[in-house]
Amino acid sequence: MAQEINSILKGRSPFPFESIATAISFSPNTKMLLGESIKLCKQFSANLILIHVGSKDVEKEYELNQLLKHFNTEGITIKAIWEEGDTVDVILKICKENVVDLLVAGALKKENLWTFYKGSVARKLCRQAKCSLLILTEPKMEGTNFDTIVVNGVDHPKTLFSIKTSFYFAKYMNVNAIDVVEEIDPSKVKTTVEDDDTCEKAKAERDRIINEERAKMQDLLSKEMDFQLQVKFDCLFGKLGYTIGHYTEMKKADLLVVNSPNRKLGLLDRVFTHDLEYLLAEMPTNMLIVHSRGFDN
Amino acid sequence: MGNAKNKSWIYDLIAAISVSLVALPISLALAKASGVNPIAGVISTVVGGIVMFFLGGSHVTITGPGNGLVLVIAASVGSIGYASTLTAIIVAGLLLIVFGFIKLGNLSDFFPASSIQGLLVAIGLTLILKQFHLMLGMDKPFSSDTSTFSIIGYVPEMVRGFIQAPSADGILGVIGFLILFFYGFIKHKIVKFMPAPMWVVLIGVGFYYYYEFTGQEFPIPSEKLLFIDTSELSKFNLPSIENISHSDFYVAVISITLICLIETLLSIKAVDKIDPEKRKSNFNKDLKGVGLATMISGLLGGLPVVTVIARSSVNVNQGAKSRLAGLFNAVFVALMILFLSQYLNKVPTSLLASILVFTGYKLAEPAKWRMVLKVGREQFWIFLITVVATLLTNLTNGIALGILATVATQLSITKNFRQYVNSVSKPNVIFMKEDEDKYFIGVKGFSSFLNFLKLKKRLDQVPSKEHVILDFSMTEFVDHSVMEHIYNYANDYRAKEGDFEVIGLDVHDAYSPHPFAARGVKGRRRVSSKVSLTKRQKDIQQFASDKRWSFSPDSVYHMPNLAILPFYQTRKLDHAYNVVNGFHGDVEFNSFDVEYSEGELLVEESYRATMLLIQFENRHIPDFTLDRESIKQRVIELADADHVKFKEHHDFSDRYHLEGSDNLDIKRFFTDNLIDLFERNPYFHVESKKDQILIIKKERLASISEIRFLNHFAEEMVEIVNKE
Repeated sequence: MAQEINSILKGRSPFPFESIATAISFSPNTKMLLGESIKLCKQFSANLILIHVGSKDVEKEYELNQLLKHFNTEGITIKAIWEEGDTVDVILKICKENVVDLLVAGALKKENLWTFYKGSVARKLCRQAKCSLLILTEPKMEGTNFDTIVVNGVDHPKTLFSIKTSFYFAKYMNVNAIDVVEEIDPSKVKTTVEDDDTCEKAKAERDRIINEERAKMQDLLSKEMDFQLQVKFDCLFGKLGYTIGHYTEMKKADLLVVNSPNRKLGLLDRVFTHDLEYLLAEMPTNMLIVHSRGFDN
Repeated sequence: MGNAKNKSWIYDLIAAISVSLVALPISLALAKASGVNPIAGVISTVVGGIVMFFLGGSHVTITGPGNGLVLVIAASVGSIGYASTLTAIIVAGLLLIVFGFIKLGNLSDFFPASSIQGLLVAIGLTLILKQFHLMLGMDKPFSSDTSTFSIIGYVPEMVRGFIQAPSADGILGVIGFLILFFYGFIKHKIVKFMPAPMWVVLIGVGFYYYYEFTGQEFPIPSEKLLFIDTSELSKFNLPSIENISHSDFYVAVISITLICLIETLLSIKAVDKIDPEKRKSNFNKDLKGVGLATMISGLLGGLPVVTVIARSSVNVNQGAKSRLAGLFNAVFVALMILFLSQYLNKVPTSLLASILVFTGYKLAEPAKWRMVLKVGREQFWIFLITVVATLLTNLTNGIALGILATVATQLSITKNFRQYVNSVSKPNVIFMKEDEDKYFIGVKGFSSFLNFLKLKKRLDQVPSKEHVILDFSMTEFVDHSVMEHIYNYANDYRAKEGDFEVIGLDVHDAYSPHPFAARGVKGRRRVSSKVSLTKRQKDIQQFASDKRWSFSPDSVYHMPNLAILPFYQTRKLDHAYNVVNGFHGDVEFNSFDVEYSEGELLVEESYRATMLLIQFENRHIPDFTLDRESIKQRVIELADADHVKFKEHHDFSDRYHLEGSDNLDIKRFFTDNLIDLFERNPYFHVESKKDQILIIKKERLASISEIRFLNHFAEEMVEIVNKE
């Protein structure tokens, strides 16, 4: 059984989102997360899986049904799964067994969930999940409107999947504009600025890098675009993982799409040392961490 | 000026003459005050000049013994002796070289601005306090281990003693100080022929020979005269290692290194600001050079070599173009010592002390205190803590306490410890290229001296002639040090005709109306200044309303148009006020009083003057400078005849020196009518840049009738220009 699932997951494209899951904890936040998940299911025509970590009892089942009554769930297949165990392990296990494509989670600052996701749980979830993870900073009953999206454009094979996924997301969620942002380690510019001459030299070097990356990205983007959307490309210099968050916050974007972190340290990690650390600590906006599921490995 | 480059040595030579006339007396004085042979100061100057010519990374700086080091060297000589101090100097030199290699040239930007200011004031006060009795020709009334702070208590006693029984050299010392003090107010050509410190030395020499010629008995005992032993030059003062196990040795090494580092970096920064060509110095290269020069100087028995502000700014003001000026300076100082030492030996030490007391005064003058107070009361506390701590203990403790005080103040203002720590430990800057040749730099959270280096690293990536947008809208707090750095960057960009836009600060409240004031999102309200107008201001207001123009007495600190004019390339523009603004046709007139300064430290002079800036909307004006023909210009013209002459207008060409970038364009602009206007009127200094013309009558505030005349002249000029 487990092998079967592994073979299904391996090579499965990160989108379309066929089944979407969310965890139910009966906190005040749960209602909002339900609203968000239901909206997503409608837009992507996906079925919904509700995960509750804990024993199944009549009281809670009743509560869940009451909650669902707030929403129009017509046309959505909803499946609730109750299971006891360690929070992260249970969620991961259920997502895997049900071939979940998108796990929706909340990260509200006022609640303890904030520290929940900020801390090791979020890190574990996004490092170990075999599916993409959508973290919403301010989930709403009626669902969030995603107007502008920022996507990482770092030089890595996974990036292609993140960009493709964000285009897919944009197509179904009425997104207006996408900024593809490539973070570049400033140390890639070899010249140290010490005076006017070295400053000019560094500038030339930097311009060359920017132009190369822009050409590469334009090539890639032109292949993947099949509908009308404003797409912009920017190069950021600074601490990797930090700058994209700063950029997203500055642009007041509604969603930040990033690659899932790498588990195994390989040659590519040296090129791409992207760490979600800064982003998870600051949560500049809603985040979609795209899992490219074995395509890269 | 195409051929100016290969003839720049002429400019360097002329500048070096003035510099050496300042450098010689001050090198002697600093060495004397450090408690070592005066020749040690000269060795430092000569070695510095030679080494930096070959290895320096800056262009028009001058090196030699520094003010701040006097205190450190004197203390070290007192505890471990001169020979071991020389070893400490050599080790410090080595450390400076290491600092250069590990690129610590940025370090000066790490120190909070107010505590650096406090450090400089404390050095100034120490110089005054430790030299005061020498200037008055007295023996030391306090013991050697008295803290600098407690010497303040002896000052009234010293003054009383001097008034009751003034000695001859004491009177000379006071005269010397008065000369230095009033030098800035006198504009006479003969007085200005020589820098003030050299006048002071000459008075000492003249005094001696007056007594010799008249055959009277010389009233100053010979032990109170300067004693330069040129025979010392042949036998080296060898460094010794006998005391290197002593803890005082390490204290000496650390303080010498730290002061050399701070003084050098601050000086280079200050000189870069006034370099007319606005070149950016290579701080790390300079640091290595200074380190090597210090080592060599120490080996030869000399004082450490640092970059010095006062002498460098004389160099710049006298028109130096390259490092050659420093070399010439070294040569001149060496020659003067070799051939003139018998005369220099007639100078009373009280006169040298007067030079140092005046240097101290310039470092610690009330204006410096007022400036910090203007920036904000909290800055004044930081400043005061640094000053007092330095006077009570030493320089390193002073600066350390200053940093602590700054952090404490910022924490109490922002009341957010966690974010404050985060702003230091985590990145807070992004850098990107927007469109073609437009750079965006964004800062987040708290921007303070502690994390400024992160921002600086990005800022330095962009050549100053480009377009930068610096966004502070995501910050909650921006401190005084950052505001000051940003202001300096803006000036750099302006000078190179780049564009430096600072955005996002309008959501912040400033803690005082000063442009360097710290800003916070939840800050106190901006204070509005209520002013009552003086008679002159009311007259100007009347003049403005007669013309239906506007008048504002408020200070304006941000004047991008004004700053790009040639006049402000070697002067530091402070602020403009009493601004009259209006239009004559389609030409905008702005007349205003402006405060600016020339030079730094010992030679700094502040001015106020009335000027008129006219701005053309639809007419091209060539860039030019029209100035009075001076002797110096004639000398330079012999080598570099790149200025515009009108054969048919002898009178005009004799009275005025006209130069600019495009001679043909200028000749076309200066029509017969325009030249006629200049010939009919008294002298004006006129210059233009980017279709705006600056007119100055005299370098002082103008009376109301002079303002009317200035405007009238300008209107006539505009009409002639527009007619063509």
